[in-house]
Amino acid sequence: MELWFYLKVATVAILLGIFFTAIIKNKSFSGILAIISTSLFALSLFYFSVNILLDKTSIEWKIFSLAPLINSTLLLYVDSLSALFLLIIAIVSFCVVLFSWRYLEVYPKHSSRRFYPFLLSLFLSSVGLVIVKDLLFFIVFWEAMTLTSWVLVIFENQKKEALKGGIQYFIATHVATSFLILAAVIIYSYSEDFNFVEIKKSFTNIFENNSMLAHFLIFSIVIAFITKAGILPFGFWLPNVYPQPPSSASSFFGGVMSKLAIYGLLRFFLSITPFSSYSEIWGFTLALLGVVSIFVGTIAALTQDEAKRLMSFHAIGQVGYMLLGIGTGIYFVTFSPFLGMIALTGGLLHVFNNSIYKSLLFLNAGVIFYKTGTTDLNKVSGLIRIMPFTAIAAIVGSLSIAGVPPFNGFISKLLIFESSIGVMKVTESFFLVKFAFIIFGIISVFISAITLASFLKFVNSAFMGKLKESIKERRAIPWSMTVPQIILAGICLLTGLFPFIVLESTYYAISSATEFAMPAFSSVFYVSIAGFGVNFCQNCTETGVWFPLLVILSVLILSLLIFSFEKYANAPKREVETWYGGKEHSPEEVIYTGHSFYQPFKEMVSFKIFNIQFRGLYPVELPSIKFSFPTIIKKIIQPDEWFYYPLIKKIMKFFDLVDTYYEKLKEKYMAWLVIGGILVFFIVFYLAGGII
Amino acid sequence: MSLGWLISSTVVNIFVVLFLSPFFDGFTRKIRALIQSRVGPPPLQSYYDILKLMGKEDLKSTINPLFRISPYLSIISIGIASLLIPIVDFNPPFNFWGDIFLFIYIITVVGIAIIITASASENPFAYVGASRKMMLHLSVEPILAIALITGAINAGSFKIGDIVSWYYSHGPNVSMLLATVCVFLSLQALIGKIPFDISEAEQEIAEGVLIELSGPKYACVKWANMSRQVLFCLVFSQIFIPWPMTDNFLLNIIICLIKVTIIIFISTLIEALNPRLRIDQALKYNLTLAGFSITAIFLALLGV
Repeated sequence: MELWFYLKVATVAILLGIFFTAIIKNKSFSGILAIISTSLFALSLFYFSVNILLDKTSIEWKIFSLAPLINSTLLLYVDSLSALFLLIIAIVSFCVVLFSWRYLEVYPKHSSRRFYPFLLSLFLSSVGLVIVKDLLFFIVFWEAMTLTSWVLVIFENQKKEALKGGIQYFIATHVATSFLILAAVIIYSYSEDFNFVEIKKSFTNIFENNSMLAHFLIFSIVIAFITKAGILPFGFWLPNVYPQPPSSASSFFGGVMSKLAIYGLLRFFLSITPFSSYSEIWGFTLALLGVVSIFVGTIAALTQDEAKRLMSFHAIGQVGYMLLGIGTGIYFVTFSPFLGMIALTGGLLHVFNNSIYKSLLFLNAGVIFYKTGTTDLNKVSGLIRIMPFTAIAAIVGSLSIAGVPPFNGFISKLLIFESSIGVMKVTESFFLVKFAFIIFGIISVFISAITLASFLKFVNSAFMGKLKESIKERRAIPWSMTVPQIILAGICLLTGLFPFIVLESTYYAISSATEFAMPAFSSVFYVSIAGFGVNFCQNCTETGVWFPLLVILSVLILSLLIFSFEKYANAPKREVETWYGGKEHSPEEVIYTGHSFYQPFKEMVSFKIFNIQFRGLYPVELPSIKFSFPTIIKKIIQPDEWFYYPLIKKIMKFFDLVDTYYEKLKEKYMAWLVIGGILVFFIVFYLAGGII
Repeated sequence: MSLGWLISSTVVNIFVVLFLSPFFDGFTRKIRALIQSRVGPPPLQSYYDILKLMGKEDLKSTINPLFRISPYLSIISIGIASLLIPIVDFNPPFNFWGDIFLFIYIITVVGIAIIITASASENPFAYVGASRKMMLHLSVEPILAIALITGAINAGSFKIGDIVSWYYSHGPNVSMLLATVCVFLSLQALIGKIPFDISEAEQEIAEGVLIELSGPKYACVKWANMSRQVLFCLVFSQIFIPWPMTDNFLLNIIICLIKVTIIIFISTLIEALNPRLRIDQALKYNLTLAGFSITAIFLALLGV
């Protein structure tokens, strides 16, 4: 029970934080309060989750029950899977709040009371989401997360794009949530309890007896989660929404919030439903959707010139990688548990890695915005001269997201590639299915190069090149914005060099979440401090390996050799002007803008279908939906057109008529009196029955 | 696998890829000169070039720290990539260390190093070159990846050593032959020679990515380009044509050098007799080839 104490501390800290930031008007002071409460929150959450990850236990705590009213309890349950997500939330939330403190200065007209309370409640609802073991409270936290994040999206409520993005976000996520609620109501009618354990029983029952309903339920739940995760085509809203809030909030959106949908999927497929033929079909569907997102999302990102929008498209692409891993895993886990586990571990590890470098990259974009007031890659350049730490962090983040060794993205991508191409060895499955999975793998290898291309474009156009004179004098970058980036970049490098830190926890998170008997960790992965080897079957030799520490060793030896060679040559050094082929130009004239990168490739992937311009396989503007009904239906559904307005018009005309008569007779006041008097007399006479 | 074997094969690989590469470059220059009816430089000219450049003045057009580091990174990463190629045996010296994906990514790092060097130099010509280099890389990388994956599917393992020993013992089958042809057709693009030297096109963009480099940095990048030629010729000759392979350590090295010389000769012929492609033509060529090479995977899954 003692461990729960830390969760209580975290909750109380964040609630106090919400309260105080809601009442305090001073931006800087409220930022400090938010930092204090979030540090406490993050520290206790970190301790809590690391303890559970290291002990490989799971703990449960029943808080209260709604029993007589409805069979639902607020039941907290933390296993390794939840703990891994708690760890992510702890790391990212701390960095985000520390970054926000000074960052909010770029919004002088906006009160911090519209930012911190909602950001902190977003943290709290994210924590609630990953630790509840009850569908009703899951939906409650899910909705709380959606609403608080929506308020952050429309933070700049004077900006047209923010409002437009906000409405798209609101509608898309609520349609998704309604699917979730629909599924929950249907399953409640079977299980009569919202507890995951009871739900699992009814799912087992439904899977055996009612295949149509089973497919419909899985469909609704999958739709709900992948819409939130931003999988195309359901994630159409994402590129319009993630750039809108302040960068620190975008960082939490991209780093954690879209991954919580992946948590939902994992929890659903691993813990709530049993592995069956349904999980094969839906595993394949997930992998297919994942690859579509990887392909379209990333190629679309290549054509973007606005840093945050570029990263939002990458958020779509990267979620695709996770879905490819998870889908492959769910498909193969029953008849080839080794392969399935490698794929699932790869998917979950990619969640962890992605949340670190994605939040890092959004923070980088935030620093650029803080310094220059824009994130348009055509307008900024040469920033490495004034923000060297940010530039290095951005390069680390970019190389991580592209999966370049020895950074962390490489490990998870390696596992995803190897598992999707490793299906070649599975004899049980059909030939064409294997071919499809291998093609998925090859597409993801190819897209990895595109990811690299688009992030080299980001780095090259924002940080390299000539610095514009006008930018130099703007705000200096405070330490509170540099430190979070260094922390996150450090984690990228650390987990990349020592994959054993996260690999076993991730593996255990998957295998503890399901009741299906998984192979032991040591038989799938051969792990040492230097790296790991991957096994695809019992008692095989390792088929895939990666020992990052040796890379560092050889890099060190080789660089020592070459630098000593340079030292020996002892060439004189001199600083010169850039050579423009004999002409003189000012820095502004020779800047190579982000838009100019990869033009021929962009032209290859741009085309036009029915007036809709596609750039990078993605429509430039989402087509607006126009219906035209037949006139008779229009008439029926609009009775005011043919009934109400004509009627009103006639009545008004009548009143007008009366009015004109009144106007004409107004002067003859005496006449009115006489006529009225006579009229009254006659009425009274009539009423009295002629007695008078 | 003893420590002695590990060290000796590592030394052999590094020696062949890094220290013999200027010789092979001199060889190509001589052949090109003969084709164009010139006398040409002596075969050791490229060594002299590198040594001379090492002592030349180092002109810095920028204070960017990456400009100082990344030229060296290119040559270092080629050295590391060379450790994943089998020369003295079926197994590369560092077979236990990484698989085909690591190899694909390390050759990506070579490209990244040169692109970062180019963009850090702040010269617009270099930017044009960097953009072209990245496009060439992302279009040619899938071909090599697909060919290596075809081998992995046939051999049932991702390790390069396993692929080569499977290929040697089971002989060429249709899928591997197809993969070999595809790698051969993309060899010029992998090396970055005419008709695919678009990122360094002297006449158009004044050596593009190399424009601001001088002294030791220029020597390093030039050396990296020479070594890249040997590296990819080795990939082709040792992974996709592993025959003949003997038990003798020295004999294997000699056979390897002969094979590489032949392939470099063919590549030089192509280089001397062809014009440069435009970047959009090169992209179309490479992506079409990549699409075509997926057939090899289909065949490999069928088991032929």
